[in-house]
Amino acid sequence: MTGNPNPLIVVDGYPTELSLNDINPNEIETVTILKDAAAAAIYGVRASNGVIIIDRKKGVAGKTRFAFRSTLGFRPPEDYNRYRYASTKEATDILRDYYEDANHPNFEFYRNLIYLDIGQYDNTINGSDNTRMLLIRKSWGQLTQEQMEEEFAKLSAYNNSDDYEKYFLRTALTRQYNLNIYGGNNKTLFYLTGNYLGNRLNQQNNDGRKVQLSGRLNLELSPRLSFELLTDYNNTKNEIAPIPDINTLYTDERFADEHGNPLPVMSGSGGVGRITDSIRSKYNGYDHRMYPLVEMNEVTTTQRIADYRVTANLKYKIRTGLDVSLGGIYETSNMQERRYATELSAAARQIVNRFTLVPTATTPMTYLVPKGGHLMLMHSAMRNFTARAQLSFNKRFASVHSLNAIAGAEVRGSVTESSKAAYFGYNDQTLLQQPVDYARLKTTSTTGVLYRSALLNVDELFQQTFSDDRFISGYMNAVYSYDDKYSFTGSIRVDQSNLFGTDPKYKYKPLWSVGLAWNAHREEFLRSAYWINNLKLRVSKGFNGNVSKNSLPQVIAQYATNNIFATPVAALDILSPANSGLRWEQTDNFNVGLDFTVLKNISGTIDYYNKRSTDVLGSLDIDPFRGFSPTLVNQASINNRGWEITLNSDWISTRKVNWNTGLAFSHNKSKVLEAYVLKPALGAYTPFVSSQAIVTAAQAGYIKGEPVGVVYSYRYAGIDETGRALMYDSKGNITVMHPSYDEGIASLDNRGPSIPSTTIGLSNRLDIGNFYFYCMINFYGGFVVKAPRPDPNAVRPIAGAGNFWKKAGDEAIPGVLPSRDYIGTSSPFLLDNSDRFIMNGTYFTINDITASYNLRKLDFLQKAGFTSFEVKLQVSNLYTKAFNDENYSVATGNYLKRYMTPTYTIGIFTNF
Amino acid sequence: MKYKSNYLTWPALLFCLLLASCDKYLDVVPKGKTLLTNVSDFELWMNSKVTYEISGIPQICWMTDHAQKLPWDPAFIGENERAYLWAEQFTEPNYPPQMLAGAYRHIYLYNTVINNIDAAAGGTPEQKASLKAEALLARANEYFYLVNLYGKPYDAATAATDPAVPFVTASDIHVATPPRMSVQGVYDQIIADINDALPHLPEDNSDNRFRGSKHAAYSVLARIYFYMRNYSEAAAYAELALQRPGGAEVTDYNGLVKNFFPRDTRINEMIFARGSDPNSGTSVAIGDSAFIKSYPSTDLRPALYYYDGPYYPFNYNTIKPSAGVRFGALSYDVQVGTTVAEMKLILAEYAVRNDDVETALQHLNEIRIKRFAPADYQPLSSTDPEEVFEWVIRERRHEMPFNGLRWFDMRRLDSENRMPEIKRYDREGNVLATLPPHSVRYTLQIPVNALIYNPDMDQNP
Repeated sequence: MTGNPNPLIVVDGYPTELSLNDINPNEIETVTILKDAAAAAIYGVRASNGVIIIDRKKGVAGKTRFAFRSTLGFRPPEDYNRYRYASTKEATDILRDYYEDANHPNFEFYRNLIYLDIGQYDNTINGSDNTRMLLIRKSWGQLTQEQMEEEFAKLSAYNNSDDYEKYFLRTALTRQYNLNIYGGNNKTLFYLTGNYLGNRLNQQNNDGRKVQLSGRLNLELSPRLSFELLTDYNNTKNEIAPIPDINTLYTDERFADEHGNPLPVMSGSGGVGRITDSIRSKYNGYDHRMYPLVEMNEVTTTQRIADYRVTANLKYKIRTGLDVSLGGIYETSNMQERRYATELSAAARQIVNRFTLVPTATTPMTYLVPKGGHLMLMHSAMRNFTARAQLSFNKRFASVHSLNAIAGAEVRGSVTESSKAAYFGYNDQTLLQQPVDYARLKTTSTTGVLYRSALLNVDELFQQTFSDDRFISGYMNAVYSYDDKYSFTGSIRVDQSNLFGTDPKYKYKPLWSVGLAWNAHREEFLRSAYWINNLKLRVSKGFNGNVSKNSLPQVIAQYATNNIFATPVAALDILSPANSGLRWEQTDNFNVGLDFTVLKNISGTIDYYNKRSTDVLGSLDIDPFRGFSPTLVNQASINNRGWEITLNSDWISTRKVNWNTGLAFSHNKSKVLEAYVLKPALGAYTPFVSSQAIVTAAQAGYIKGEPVGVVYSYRYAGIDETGRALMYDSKGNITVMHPSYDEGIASLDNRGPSIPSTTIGLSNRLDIGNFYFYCMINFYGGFVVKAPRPDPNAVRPIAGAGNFWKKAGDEAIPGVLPSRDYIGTSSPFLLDNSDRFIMNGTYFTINDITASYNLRKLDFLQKAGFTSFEVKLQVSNLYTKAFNDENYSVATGNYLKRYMTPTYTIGIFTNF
Repeated sequence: MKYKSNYLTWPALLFCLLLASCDKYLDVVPKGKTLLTNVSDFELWMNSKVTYEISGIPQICWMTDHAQKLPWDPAFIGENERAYLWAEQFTEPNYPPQMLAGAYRHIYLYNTVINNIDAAAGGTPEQKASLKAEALLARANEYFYLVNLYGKPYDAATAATDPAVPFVTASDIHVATPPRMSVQGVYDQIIADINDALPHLPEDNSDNRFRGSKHAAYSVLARIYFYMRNYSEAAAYAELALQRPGGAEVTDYNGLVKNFFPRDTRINEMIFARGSDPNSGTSVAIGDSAFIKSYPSTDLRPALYYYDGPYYPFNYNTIKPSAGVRFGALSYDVQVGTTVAEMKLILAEYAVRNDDVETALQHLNEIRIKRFAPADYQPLSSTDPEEVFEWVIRERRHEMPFNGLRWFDMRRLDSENRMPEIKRYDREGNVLATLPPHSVRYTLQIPVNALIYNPDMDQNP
């Protein structure tokens, strides 16, 4: 789907572009989540995914008070020994079998290539892994058979997981200090906050820190006029250094030799290895290879981000029950990123080498990109503002009727821009850089250079982007209630934005909602039911819609440079084709809910929702004859319905002891009502819709009549005597798993959704005196998950990748995979999507355990003025377990990881 | 009450003012993108790199007898390998089919101009007519490729009923795809379109050979008639094409450095230039060893067209690496457009088919003199039309081995019963596939993933 999948975040009355991470949790007074129809109608189109309303703490009249918090968190580094990787022996055996196969070339042949010259190097030997190098050296007589076997034994005995942790990882540390100062009198209230967050990540040389300052002021200027001013300032600095991804490293690659000197690794070395290094020494060029231990210190990226936010609101009481308020917010965010790769780094050297012309009879060695470091500067800025005028009316008539209404208008604008620039031959000490002949770089042929590669793409180095979004809206919301028992709500909103070239029929389409609520507990007949403290029934219905900005009934083109000639030519490239069939994305919402409190201590809500989205916009493959595929179309209509139940209960509630349980349950069912194309039906087409097409369409999200993200799988039936995978066909017979035996949808089982349909959260809190204990567990069920197939061709294979069929009889080995030939010819698509790898995804996690003790009773603390002094210990992301054979829980984030890495936090929370 | 009306009017006034400046505030032009409203926009549109490309050339080359996939590795079968074996369906089932989708993508770009240029602002009627003419020419060129891939080889007796491809003229993706047009219908339409375009095309495209011109149109017409086997019309248009302002000189390959083919030098020989779409892959086609050996040993072309080096790292056991064609880091180095040499070869073939051996030899020698060092050059001489015909075909193969035309030539010659059976072998010498004369595989099937969206469309056998 297009657009932002995130809910709208409203802070202190205005929507914000900042993410939840940027909001200091110590500042939050209340969080309200609006999910129903009313939400969108008040906040507009951006609220179609729900609204999170956050109100921050305000000053309290009285003497000035302070709150100070300090927390320290630890997170241990990843232990790759515990991952599902194959052992070094398994990985080297896979490679060795492959290279020793009789069908592979005699390495003797490559001996002649050792004297390769420019442009003739052989990728195959140069980028060789350790296994192949041993075989090559033996074939060239540098090792005897016994010596080679010895070397192989040594190689298989070493696993670089421990060294990886030693050189590249560390315990992550998070420190936070927060100070609040607040107070005021009956005319002035203030709230000041200062917050420092320091982050040392698990990856070495990667750190960050953030400072947040906030000041909020509420002033009563006169009995009728009040003024509110909120200012926020955030300053972030991040330092990023490159750490190699462990999946790109062979299990036997070492990072340093026995003297501690850095060693190069294959990945990132541009296919250059030991042999072509001889070319370098012949021509005195840079070492092209990547040394991770050097790279992590020689390439630094520094990001500095500064955010400012100012909100001002003026409220004037015209007369009782009628207020007008004028206000607005202005937000800016500026980011500067500076990436400096010194002359010692592979990042800088490889660019130089790619454009170094070797000497010929008539020309000397020419460096088209000057030797030295490489500097990239990136800058991006975002500014947005909202200005609002609102009238609000509150009146009670004849003591039973009450009417609350607001009407307002809003103007909003948002600008983002970014730019990039690159410098070569740069040295950070001298601050000097050298000129580059870009025109020559783009047109010079790649032959004659030291290391062949693609020509320079200037867009990677220099770029400007800009976007400007503007909106004007008007809205109205009214609540009428009778006798405090029955109320009726209505809201309407019109948004207009700067979609250029929009068809007038798309303008001024209103969003609206209506709702009814009944406070049943106020009814006469329920007054006698003493056990019901609160019972409110609510019903609402609303309409929301969205128009795509990115596709129109006319062609949208973007400016580009056609640089196939030495002199570039201005051009317009197509950005989006004309689609006269585009319609509004519309959502109809219906909710029924019950809020209750019974027996004074048990409260909860039960909600049922039914949401129908028609003409959902998304990018889809369409008929290639139409000229532009994939493209944005109204691709589906979806129905989403479900239940949400929350329960909150204070089982024991006395002065000394408190026990509270919270339960949140949700169950969701989605169904695709219409999908743009591909309605699987046997025999309806010539040729019929293949099972592969169905599986792919399901992965894209929409099959008519099925839940969104439905998964289909083939029925795996083992391996046959020639190493091919087998499957059960629609009649239960075993056939070879191959597209020729396709029966369309009959070849597949419907496995249900890939997104959890049921989630349960359970939390418990026990307070005894000054001590409390808290625990939270989550459960996710009703979905399937796909595990990856161990691939023997992977650089760092998954355990079991070497267990594939090699000879007759192997099909009986448990867990055996098909032969390598089969995987190559038949396309492993069917095997990857079979029930061998698609399994039940249900899992639960223990999210949080907290223990806390409040020391406020201690004498010396009371004398010092502390009203509260709490010491808290917390462990989060503690544990997970999945209910499938492989214990693959998506909570770990990665199939390879079997466990959760917890974070341990200790904190001190004080008030004085 | 006076008081009441006062405090209501002010907000109301503000509101009205707001609405009035509404449209103005929202009428901001975005940076970096635009709708196509002016004639100048369409001029820039015709400069888009995408319009300079033909898609699917590497795959077409794999289908010819110039390609040889050795060593054959059964563990790595993809689209190119299936095309090499003339499989009924060779495109990946889950992606838009390269050749077809690429051609129709280009057609979409040209249709956008053809349909919307008349309503564009600014610019003179001549400019509009000229841009429309260029788009008509480029579109006709695309349909030329399509009809020769998905329609049977042209046979005047059956062309009116042989299905080819849908002739799409819409630039709105919401418009339904028309049914397949007949081979005759497509040819008639593209010839008519080019004839409509001719009076309005620019005289000269020497500053940008990728754009249209009158002579470019003549060269495309020459190709079209040539593959309809209407050799006299083809020759007439080839003659006209060679009268272009850029001259009728074939590039001299003497003095060019191995593997270093300066783009600008080559391009002057182009009459209507087109490059190979980089999305079709810059993967290398490997030259058939027998074919490579058929070049005379002193011919300059192998050194410049072909590139030494092993390509399949693990899996072959020949001693010497095969030679292959480098499609280049920049696909525009592979020129598939019409060239002076191609026009001369058309003229040579027309001449020899009419037993005019002298004219044929003259054209052949004018090309060959630039393909050998002066010391090695031997002009061809003969009086036997059959022998000279063989030379013409051979020269065609040598001059344009991998620009896609060989496949079309194979079809054309097969219609005249001049193609032998072609076989594909694995590394043990076993036959993997054969292409017998008049095989239905000379006409490609419409890819399955295009037919899914057009269930009523007929499929080729």
